[in-house]
Amino acid sequence: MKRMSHPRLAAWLLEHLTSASAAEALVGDLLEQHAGGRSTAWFWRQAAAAIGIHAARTVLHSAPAAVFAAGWGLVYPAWRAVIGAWLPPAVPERWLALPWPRPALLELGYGVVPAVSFVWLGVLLYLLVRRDKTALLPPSRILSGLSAGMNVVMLATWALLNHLQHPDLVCVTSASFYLGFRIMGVSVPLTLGVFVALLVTMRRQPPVARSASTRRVAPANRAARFPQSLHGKLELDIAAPPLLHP
Amino acid sequence: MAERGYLGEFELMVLLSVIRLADDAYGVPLVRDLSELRGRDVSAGSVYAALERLEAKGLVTSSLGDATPERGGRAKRYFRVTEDGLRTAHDTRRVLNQLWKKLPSVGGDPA
Repeated sequence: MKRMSHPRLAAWLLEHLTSASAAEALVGDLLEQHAGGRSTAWFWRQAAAAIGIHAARTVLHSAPAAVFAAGWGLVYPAWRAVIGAWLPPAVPERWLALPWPRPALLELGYGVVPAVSFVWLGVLLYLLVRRDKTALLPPSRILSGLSAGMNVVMLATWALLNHLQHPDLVCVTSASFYLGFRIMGVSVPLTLGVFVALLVTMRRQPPVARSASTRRVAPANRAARFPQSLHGKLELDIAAPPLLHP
Repeated sequence: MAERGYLGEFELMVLLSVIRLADDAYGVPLVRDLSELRGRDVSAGSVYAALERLEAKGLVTSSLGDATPERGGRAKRYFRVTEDGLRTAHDTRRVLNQLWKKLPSVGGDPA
């Protein structure tokens, strides 16, 4: 009897919704068992369980970053007070008289820089506080996190302004969005920005398995490997782990 | 960097199963072994999650093996216990043995 082909959608979901390092081996294992007689329903159940477990682990892993981001977003009024002291209440008229695109860039910088710098400061503070887990992060990962945080702030701000029908959607000045109104609302894009930046920066990178060429061992040499050499003992005494090397 | 900490019950089972299976310790035999020992189905996802935690703690290492047609061309991922892993298994066994000694029988008499 011809066996039903494996559920490609389940395999695709597994490969895209679980950790990259485990996905290939996990899908291969499920395909091997499916080819050995397991049902398609069983394949789907295994895939759903693996995706659920991965999602739960991701949530747990990112919980400290989420809590920090929410708390950091509430600090924004203090940051506003500090930055506000350095900025005039609105974009000066002489700036607006400059040739295009300088006025637009100035307005953008004037309104956005305080928020983005606040997000970046939060990310760097978090990395500093948790340096036991972040000390070995490559600079490229931190830069990509900061970049993602900035993009999220911009997008979330645009969405929030749209939602609030705010007139400063066109022209952001110090008297408006980031330095003026609805501080609690403003903390939403800032919190999202910090959170996404931390997720990108601290995403898990499990150890990469060695390639097949380093793994395969000639049968004649297998006795030299200690788990193999102790295998016989394990067959006799499962309860006792093999002895340590002297 | 290896993260150190206590082993959970399931992690310990997976670690012992990796030791037991030795050179054949990849996903399929591990899931089968654990399912037989526990007497019920074990999901492959939970086994891989435990293996990733063990690897992060430096108790096992992994390496890629052969890709076969029935696996859709995907490589097997073999796991091996490390010296630290073996030491942790021994430590855990010693602690648990001490704890088991004080276990009363169901009727209330000492075991």
